[in-house]
Amino acid sequence: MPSTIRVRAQAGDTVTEVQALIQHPMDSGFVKDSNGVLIPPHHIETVTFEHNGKIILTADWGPAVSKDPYIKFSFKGGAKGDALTVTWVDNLGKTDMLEAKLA
Amino acid sequence: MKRFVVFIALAALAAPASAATQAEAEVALAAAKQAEAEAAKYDNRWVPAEAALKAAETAVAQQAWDTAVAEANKARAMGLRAVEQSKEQETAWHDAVIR
Amino acid sequence: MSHRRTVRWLVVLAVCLFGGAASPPDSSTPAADQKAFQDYFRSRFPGVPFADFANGPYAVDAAMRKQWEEIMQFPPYDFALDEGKTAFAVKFANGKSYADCFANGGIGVRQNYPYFDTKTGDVVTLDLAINRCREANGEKPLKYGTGMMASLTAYMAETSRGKSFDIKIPDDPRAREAYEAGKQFFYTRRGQLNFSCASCHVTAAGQRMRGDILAPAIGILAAFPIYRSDWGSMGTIDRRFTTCSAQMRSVPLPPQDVAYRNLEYFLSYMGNGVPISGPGTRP
Repeated sequence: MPSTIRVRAQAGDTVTEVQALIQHPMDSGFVKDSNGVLIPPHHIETVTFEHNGKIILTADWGPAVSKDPYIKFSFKGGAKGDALTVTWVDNLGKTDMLEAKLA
Repeated sequence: MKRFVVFIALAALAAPASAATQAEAEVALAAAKQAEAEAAKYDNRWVPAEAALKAAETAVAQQAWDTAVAEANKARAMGLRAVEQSKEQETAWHDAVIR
Repeated sequence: MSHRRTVRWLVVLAVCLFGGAASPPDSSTPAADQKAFQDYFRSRFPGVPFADFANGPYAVDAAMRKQWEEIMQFPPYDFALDEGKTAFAVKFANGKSYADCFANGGIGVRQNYPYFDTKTGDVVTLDLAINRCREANGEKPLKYGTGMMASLTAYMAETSRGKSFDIKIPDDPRAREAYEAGKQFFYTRRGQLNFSCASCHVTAAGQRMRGDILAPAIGILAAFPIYRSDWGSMGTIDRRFTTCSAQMRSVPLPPQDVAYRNLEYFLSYMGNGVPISGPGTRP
């Protein structure tokens, strides 16, 4: 099962820039399908980014975020080769995780 | 007096019907379908014309003759205009070509 | 005979001789059309390098381009592209695969589509070729517009990225007819809104249509299939043609209808020289 997470993290002199694209339907629960039936809510609740085992960013998403969400942020520090872990959990309890290294 | 009575009688006959009949609805629907079929020959059925046609068919099924006639007439008018549009465009398109 | 009657007969004669033809043929050649088309857009958008027309609205609007460059750091079509690459390699039940149906195994060939098949006498688009391949090998055809068809064509387009459109019109009256039909479709007004493709993508190219910037027609197919943010999913040329028709309030034709294939043939030929930029992303 291919990962739903793609991540790119570039370590700079003082700052590391992280980008991630996550494959997820992000159904809000308010949209109807072509037959007029409500599509049940199915969206990521939390995304966690860890750097060398320490949580550096927690994102609380929910129904307002669109399909296949993209996130970009920077943090101070980080060096090439450091471990970066991305984890998400959705409202149905599903989850995925990816381990990457800073470039 | 006689002329007055004749006048009243004629006026009563000429008074518009307050509701359409089933026959009128079916005639209108048939005319609308024909107009849309013509437009289909040019691959130029208009989305709102199809919607009006569907509404007319639903109205006939519900025996709402006034609505049926109104929607069918709308569909027919659009169908006829679509055919006109396609016929005009058969020559008019040349004017738009980049040369 | 009275003077008036004579005049009337002369008018009738003139109309019979010179008018009355349902669609007078256009007198130019495809090559001349193409030159006029390309010259028009070059002079209309002098600041745009020719190859950049492959990027549609981003070539003609700086603000949109900036947003596009940000999105392209992580292209939203990535998932479909991966899915297409994997699926392309999977063998059919009979042991054959897509590679057996295409020149060069289907790698780096997208810029040659559509082409006119002199054997079947019709225009073959990439999507149609994929389904003809499937059916020839005992597989069910894929639905057009999105899904796996978009993923497969995304992969095939990616292998052609940067290669210029090279559409050919063979010396065959049927091919010429298909081209002319496509040309007529492009310029013909239709639907309740009375627009033609040219209304938006020639006359109003580069201008706003509500929140969007209208792409110039030249090379407009280069980025397909696209991940369109509006759709939240992938879409092929079929998806765009059918939704555009509906937006003109003209009932769309079925995907891969002969009229749409002819249109794609004309449009692609007009874009010869523009590089493939697919799969792409659009607002």
